[in-house]
Amino acid sequence: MKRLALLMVWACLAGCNTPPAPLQLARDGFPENLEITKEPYACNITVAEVIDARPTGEVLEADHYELRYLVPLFLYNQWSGAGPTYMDRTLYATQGVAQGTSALIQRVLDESGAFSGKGKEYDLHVRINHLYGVSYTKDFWIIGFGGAGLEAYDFFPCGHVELAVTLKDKQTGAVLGEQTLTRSFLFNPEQPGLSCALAPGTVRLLYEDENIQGVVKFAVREVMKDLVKTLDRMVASDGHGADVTTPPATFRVIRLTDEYDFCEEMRVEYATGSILTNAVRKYNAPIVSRPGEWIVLPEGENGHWLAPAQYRKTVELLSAKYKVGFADNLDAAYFKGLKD
Amino acid sequence: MRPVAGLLYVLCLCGCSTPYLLPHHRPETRDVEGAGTSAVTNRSASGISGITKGDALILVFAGESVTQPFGGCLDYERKKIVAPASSYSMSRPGLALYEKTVDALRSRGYSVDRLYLPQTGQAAKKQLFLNVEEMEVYRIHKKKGDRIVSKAIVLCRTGREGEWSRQRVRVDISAENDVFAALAEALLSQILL
Repeated sequence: MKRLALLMVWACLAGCNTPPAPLQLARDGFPENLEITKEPYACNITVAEVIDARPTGEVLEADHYELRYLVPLFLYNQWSGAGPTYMDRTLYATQGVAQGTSALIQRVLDESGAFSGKGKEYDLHVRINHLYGVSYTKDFWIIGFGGAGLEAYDFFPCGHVELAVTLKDKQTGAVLGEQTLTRSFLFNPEQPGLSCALAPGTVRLLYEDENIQGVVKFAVREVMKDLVKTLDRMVASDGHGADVTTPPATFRVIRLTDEYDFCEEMRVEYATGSILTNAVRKYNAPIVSRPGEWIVLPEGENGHWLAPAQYRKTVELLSAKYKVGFADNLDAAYFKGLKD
Repeated sequence: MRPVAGLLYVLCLCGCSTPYLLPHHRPETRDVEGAGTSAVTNRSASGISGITKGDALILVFAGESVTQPFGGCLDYERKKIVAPASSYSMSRPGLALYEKTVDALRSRGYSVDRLYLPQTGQAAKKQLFLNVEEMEVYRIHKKKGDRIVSKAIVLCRTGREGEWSRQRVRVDISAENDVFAALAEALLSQILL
């Protein structure tokens, strides 16, 4: 019976260690809850170039160390560990990271609804500075006279993405904006799609490959949402979007939570100052304020991120009735409620 | 019997101390400083020029550009990567350092405006750019309380392009207080001439 149980455990382990399907960035990196903008700007953004500029070590290295010794007939002892171990290249699709990222960005831009695909032409140049999942492990085992011991640890993996994006006017080649977008994602056992299952008798995570793919995938999804807002802002600065002449019917104020990932958001009716909605939600846009600071969200009612000039005009109009303005933050206006 | 006992003793000693001998079990000794790959055209060990006491400054957040995983510490006790301090931002440690640098500059008498998105920059004031290139924060367990060690490599420049200066800072504090405030103070003591 014991043998059968052991066999089942090994079969289970072998099954769990089957390599997962390669990560298809164009498919797996697409954000599930991408905000769809209803009134697109009349322009088309083409992904002109994606350069994979990841450092060599990030692609190839697995920092492994080991110490072992043997006392014949008496003792064998081994310590080993690895980390940072970057995600194996075989876990990416064969089309390559640059190609996959290019396809992903184009898909995100097409489906975001922010740009119509017709009108003024822009070229997007992307440089992948970092894109990795990384893990750490530690093992200790000893076989001695009359006994044996094993200790194996997997530390939660994390994913990190950094893209440097440059938007250019296709006709003139003029640079309209440059921005570096970064996102990290630490393994979270509560996140659907990630697993915290442990191998029997150890604290070694099963589904190691799936998990490391997962953290990369979620980091990429987050950065894609930032990308749309960033490009939205760059395009708006190039004359898209209507001039702001009247105060908006409603506007939103937010404050970030300490970890920058979430925000408390209130929608305020301009005419009355009534709070129409108040909710805590995930914050998926470029960071423009410090945690806890109430600001007027630089996003229009149509879902477009406002150009700096549009935003300043909006704030100026709001200031007739509300305590809003720019103090020491040049990107976002503070909000302190209705004027007395 | 004595030689065997002696050998056993030595083996036990080696076994117990190995976690402190291996580099990855002593994260505070890991070399993060050679990891940066960004081009630095004008390195300076002593600081950056162009900023004088009491200036009105714009501190520009030029980005987080890390070459190794950052943001957490390897906590062998809890078997996972965890935030090393209660004040710590796991997902945006570069931004956390940026905010504390703003505060530290103000406490030194500078008037500081924040700028998160560089293309909206204003040229009227002196600009100081901060790019957090590398950061590691570790908690080291001790019997009486934890010790937190943090290392960062920060690229700074004043307004002119191509004048980056790479600063390496390290702080070592014993309580779970603000590791970023300590890092920011250490950074400013290096970059302000």
